[in-house]
Amino acid sequence: MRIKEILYWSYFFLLIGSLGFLSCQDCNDCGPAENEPYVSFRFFNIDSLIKVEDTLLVLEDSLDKVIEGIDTGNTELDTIRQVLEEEIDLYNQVYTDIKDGKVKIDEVTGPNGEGPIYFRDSTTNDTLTIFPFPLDMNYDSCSYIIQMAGMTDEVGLIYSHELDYVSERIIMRIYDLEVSKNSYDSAKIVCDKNRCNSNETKIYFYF
Amino acid sequence: MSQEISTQDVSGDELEPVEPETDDSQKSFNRFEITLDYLKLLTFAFPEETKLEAGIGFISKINIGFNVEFGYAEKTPEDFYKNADYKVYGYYGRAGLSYYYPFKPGTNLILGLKYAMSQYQDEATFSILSSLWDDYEDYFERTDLEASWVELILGSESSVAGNLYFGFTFRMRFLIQADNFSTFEVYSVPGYGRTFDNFVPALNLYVKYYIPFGKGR
Repeated sequence: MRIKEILYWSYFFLLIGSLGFLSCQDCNDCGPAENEPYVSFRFFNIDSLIKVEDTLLVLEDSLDKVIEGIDTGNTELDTIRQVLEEEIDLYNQVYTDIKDGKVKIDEVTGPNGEGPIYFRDSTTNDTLTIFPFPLDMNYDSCSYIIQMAGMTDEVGLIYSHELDYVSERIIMRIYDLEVSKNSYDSAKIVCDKNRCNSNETKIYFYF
Repeated sequence: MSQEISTQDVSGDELEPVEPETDDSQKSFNRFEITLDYLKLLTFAFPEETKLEAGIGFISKINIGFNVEFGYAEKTPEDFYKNADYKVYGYYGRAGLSYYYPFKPGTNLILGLKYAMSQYQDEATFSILSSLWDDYEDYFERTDLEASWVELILGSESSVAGNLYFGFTFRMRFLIQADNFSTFEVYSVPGYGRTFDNFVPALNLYVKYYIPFGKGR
């Protein structure tokens, strides 16, 4: 092969190689994306919590008296002591569950019959502590009918929304979340930043 | 290029002038060129993009040419928006000067500089699914977008049959300006490519036909 042809083809392959090298691009963000905006609800049954707390006080008071009786030599109270301790353990567990907001929601629907949606976790007998409620992207407000333990309650939210682009997806970003309607005893909205954004905001309901 | 008259010993003691073989590709003539990018024609076989590009030019006897190229590009990338049907399309044109260095008979090396413009638009229809409410469905359309850039061109071409040439050009494109948007970016500018860099390399493979005219030098 003549030297000029070698030079010619070397020139060609050098250019092709340069093209391939310069065309490489790194993947900067390849993770999964949250597509549907939501707000996290938590429910605290304060009425039950107070009742359990009162029951625990009574049980602990009874246990103290039983222990005093055992200390005076009444060994027949050992069985009662054992029963009381088991009861206290049980109520402590219930107290912890209620305090952690562990509840079971039967179903959630929209005011016009949208849904229903269910929250399921088979490993914890369908009780959860955090419930991601989807937000209606077509409007600046939405409300939920929540059925839980035979009770039906309604919660309404208002917010602003705008489209955004995250991880190769067009998403709806919702912000300035507020509770507009609430049939529970009280509600508390918790957000880390100044603007209460979707997927970051938690709302605690007390009943 | 000037024609040379060589001498040849015919009879042993007599020298007669002999004219060498003439070849239109030796740029002895003014000539027009018609170019078709056949690499872009291959895009018709793929669903994600469609491209078409052709050009004309005038090359003087001193091997400096003025070229104009026109093209159309349409891109429908599947992964740019995972929840949208997106398309960007438009026309572009380039004009500039090139120098054709006669590397050897029938082969030219090309160095050029061109200014390019593109007019384009994009559109997308998308949906965001909801597990409780109606899905959010919407679209956007951005029209009358413009971009401009310059291209430094290195290339080579070889004659395959007379004035019919095959060749390639390696282009280094330097973006001057491109209309774009912060939230939903335009995927690419027709004729330029992706806009995340102000420098984009590219390759063209073409077939070209020269039409000589005028008096050869």
